[in-house]
Amino acid sequence: MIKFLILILGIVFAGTPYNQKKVLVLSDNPAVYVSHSQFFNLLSKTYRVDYKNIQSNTFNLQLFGEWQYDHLVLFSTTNDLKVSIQELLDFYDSGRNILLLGSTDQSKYFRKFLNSFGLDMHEYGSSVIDYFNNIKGNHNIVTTTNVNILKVDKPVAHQGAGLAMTPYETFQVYGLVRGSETAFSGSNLSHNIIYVGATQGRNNARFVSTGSWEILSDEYLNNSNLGNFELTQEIIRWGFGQSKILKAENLIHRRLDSDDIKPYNYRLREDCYFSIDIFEWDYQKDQWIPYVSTENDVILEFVMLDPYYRVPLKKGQGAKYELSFKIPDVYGVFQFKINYLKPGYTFLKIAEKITVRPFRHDEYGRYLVQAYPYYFSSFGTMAGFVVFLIAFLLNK
Amino acid sequence: MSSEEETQQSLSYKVHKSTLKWAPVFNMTILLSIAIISCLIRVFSVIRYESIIHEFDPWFNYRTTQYLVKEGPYALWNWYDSESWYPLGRSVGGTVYPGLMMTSGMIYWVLHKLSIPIDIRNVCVFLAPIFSAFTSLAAYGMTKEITKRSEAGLLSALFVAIVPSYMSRSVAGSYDNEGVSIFALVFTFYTFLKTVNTGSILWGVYTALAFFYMVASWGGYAFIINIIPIFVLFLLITGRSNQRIQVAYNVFYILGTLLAMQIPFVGFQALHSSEHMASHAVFLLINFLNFFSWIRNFVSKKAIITLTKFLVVFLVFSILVGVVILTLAGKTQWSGRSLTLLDPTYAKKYIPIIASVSEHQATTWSSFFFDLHYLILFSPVGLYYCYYKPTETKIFGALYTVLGVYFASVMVRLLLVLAPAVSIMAGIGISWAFRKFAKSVRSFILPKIEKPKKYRIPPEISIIGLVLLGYYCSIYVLHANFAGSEAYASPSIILSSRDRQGNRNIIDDYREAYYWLRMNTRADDKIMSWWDYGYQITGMSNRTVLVDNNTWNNTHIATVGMAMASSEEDAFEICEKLDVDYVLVIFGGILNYSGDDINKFLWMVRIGGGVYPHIKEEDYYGKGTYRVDQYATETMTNSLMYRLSYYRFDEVQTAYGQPKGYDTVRQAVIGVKGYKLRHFEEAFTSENWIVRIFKRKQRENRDGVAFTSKQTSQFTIPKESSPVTKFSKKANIKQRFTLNFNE
Repeated sequence: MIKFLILILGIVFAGTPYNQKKVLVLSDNPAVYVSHSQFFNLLSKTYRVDYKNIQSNTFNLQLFGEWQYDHLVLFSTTNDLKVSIQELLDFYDSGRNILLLGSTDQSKYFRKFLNSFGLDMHEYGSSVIDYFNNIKGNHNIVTTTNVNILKVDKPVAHQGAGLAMTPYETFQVYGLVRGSETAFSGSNLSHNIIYVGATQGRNNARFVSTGSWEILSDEYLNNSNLGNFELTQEIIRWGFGQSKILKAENLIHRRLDSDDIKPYNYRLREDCYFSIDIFEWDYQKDQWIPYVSTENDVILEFVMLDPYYRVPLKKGQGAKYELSFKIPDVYGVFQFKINYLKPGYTFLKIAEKITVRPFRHDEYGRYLVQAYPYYFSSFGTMAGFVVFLIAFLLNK
Repeated sequence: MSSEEETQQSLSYKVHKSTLKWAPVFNMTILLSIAIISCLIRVFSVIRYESIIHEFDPWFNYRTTQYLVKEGPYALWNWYDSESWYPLGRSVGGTVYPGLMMTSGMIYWVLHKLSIPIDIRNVCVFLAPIFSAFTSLAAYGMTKEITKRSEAGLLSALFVAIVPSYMSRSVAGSYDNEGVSIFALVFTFYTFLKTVNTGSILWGVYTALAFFYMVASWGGYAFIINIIPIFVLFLLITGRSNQRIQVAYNVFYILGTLLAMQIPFVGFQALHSSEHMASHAVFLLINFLNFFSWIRNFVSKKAIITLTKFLVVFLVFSILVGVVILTLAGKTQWSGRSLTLLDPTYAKKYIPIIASVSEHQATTWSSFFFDLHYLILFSPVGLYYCYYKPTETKIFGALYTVLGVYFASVMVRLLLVLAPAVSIMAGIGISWAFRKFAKSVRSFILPKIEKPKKYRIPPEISIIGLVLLGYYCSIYVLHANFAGSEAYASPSIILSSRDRQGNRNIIDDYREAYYWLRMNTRADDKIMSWWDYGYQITGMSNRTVLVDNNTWNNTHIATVGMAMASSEEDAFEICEKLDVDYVLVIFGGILNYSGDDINKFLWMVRIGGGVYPHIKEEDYYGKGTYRVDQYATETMTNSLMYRLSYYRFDEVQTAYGQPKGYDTVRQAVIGVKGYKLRHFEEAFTSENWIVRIFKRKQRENRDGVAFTSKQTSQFTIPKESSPVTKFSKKANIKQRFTLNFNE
């Protein structure tokens, strides 16, 4: 009976893996539970949420070497924390996600923390000002439609500090919500003001930081003219690894005219066929669906020290991306490489090693036209030798 | 009195008589014992250590032989080895001299057909000693062809059998090309001299076949294909050429060149490489002269002179033009090693990779003496004897010796080619001296048989001379015995040391580490090490390496050199690009093992700098010398090689009375202590720290992302907001929210 119950429980829990993910909300200010009730509602719809005071000893990120939570939400401006920056970074580097809500009076602790993700807060106390895109003429409440990666149709309102990026933009760091052209902040007059920034680690862990708490507050979420509600949904989905998750599987390479998958080696100048299935996670249907890239940007490299081919794969049936090509006239250990580093998506790094061998001794062409003089001369010499021998012997 | 004298005379006469009768039996018995001795003296390495493949190159030969035995000769011919020279790979079939492997493969197959289940490793280990026995037999034959005397042949056979130079490459386990090809070399010369002596085409064919075996087994065949034309040219110039020489050379050249082309590694090089040019030229010349002397029978004397002038000018001009055109068009070029032979300073100037190999260094006097011992004293006697009453074969022997001396003094490894020549010359010389002394003694004892002559050496001096010669010969034997049992018996992958009680300690770090690699890494992991250890890693660990002892691609080796000489960050980038999983360094700082990577490091810098000019040798010299202590330059101490070799070295005490981190090889305390590695982690260090293996870490999760901004580093809370207390700050936020709600 107990076994049966455990089995049932097991089935129930196994069937809903995403519902079981645990989120820890750390805050030093109880007021956020009032001001951001909508956000927390959205969060608790899909996750089991623990609310803890960041300054207390009541929580453990890690217990006996096991991480206790899958995702982390940080609402804090304090310097006085019970967790070290390194512990938070370790949490992230282990493949878990973090959402950090910034503030104009953000502490040095969190500024340092933000720097670890290639993002930077504007000066203490500064806030973004926009004289053209704002709500009701209040230039401190700015709006923008410049939303990347996330799907938000309406303008997004923002109030408070802005973020800046690293001096060198990488494929890992990007602005999810950027300020409009006319926005500026304090002494920072660049157009590159970010309201919501994101970093994706090489292990595909995601980090989202907003410039201010207010962008996710009930005030804007309740306003149906603004896109902040959708934005919040999208941030939770993207930031906690539900949307834009890719996986690649079923890598196949073979000779074009053979069904022998993944042969031991190829000969140079053979025709080769390569295909791979790429799926995207559909959080609505809870299943993997074929990933369709609209930009023809899934690129296959055929590399030995340097790429010999760098060609976009063609979209085939279903999730299949495929290409057939002629192996170059060079032997060596080659690799099929796909480095799909599209911002916002899971990074796909695929490398498959194959050996390209030279011709075998009996694979070269024979009786070539160019070789006829040689055949003629060698057979001629043999014939001449026989004739000479006969003449020599008869003369004696 | 007279009767007593008569009986004495008759006794010695009888002895003399029966000795002459039994001489052939003595001859064969002695020869056989020499062959057996030459085998046995080389087995010391197996007795002292174990039946194991030695050194570096033999490991590749061993691996290739295993492949041959398993897959067959065609598979070997087409073998494309993706485990070495990653990611370039190596087409083994076309870049290997298969003679050695085919020989042991044959032995293996024959023995297995005879139901003798021998392990291929043992065939490989004992191949060289067996072939050294053949070499001594061939040397006997060759000396006999030169002098027509079997006693000279026996002495030569003995000298060749135990000459330390040859022994260094043919002890049991030293499974290298030289092991069989020295036999092939001497045997080719023997058959060639036989042809010269007899003028038989059949022996000429044998010469070509022996030459074919030589081409199949060693690149040193170039020596034969050059010395025989030089010999023929010498005879032509001195007017000693005759019909027999023509037969011998033409048969050898035509068949030999055709056969050489059958070896895939040689192929068409036999036609257009510079090493073969002399043979082509002499072939043309000898036949042209022949043709010319035939024409002379039909043409008047006046016409002959004009014809000669015309032909000589034409010939010289066309050869000159031909050489210039071929060289300019790049159809023929001198390989770096050949150029080094002609100009000993060439490699040092242009090809550091050749100069870096210890066996390519110029030979020192001490190694001359250690490897040849008294033979270099006695060989001039033989040389003198050869020039004293020259015949064609004696001239050949003398030429071989003289050229051999030149080549041997340019490169250490070519002492090996000289060793048979010197042995044969010493054999001839000593037997000549013996004969002279013996004759005088004999004329004293048996005046009836040996008629006393006036110019004979006095018998007292003869006896002293005989004793002295015997003494020197036995000293030579003792020295050879020492060399065989001590100096050249070490397999170099197993080291040994003696403690104060005289007990032998075996230091087995190499095999320990290679075994660790074999058992603890994934099958397709790539190991980066300096090229010296490439063959051993592929052979013993069965893992992929980037570079190995077949130094065919200088750029790839230079890339590895650059990685070792770069800082950890740069090296990590290079390693990532080359898919390196582990880095292996050899470190002797604890055990005072001087052949380690820090000592080889300058060559890595030089070779790396030869291709990548940003690596500069002088950056690695602190205070003008190469050093690792506190005065070492930053480039040196930051280099990957330094970092990996000395990682956590400062935590151990290596020598009594010295501080921690004292390097016993460099005799200095290391300059940088207590550092951490960022991109590499220590995976394995062998018992005596000789082999250290480091694993390349994955790139950090946020590598290249994290930074510290000006805002953060200069973060201060502005004056006006600093008085805000924690409590009021909270209130402030709350207030702001309420305000917003009200709007």
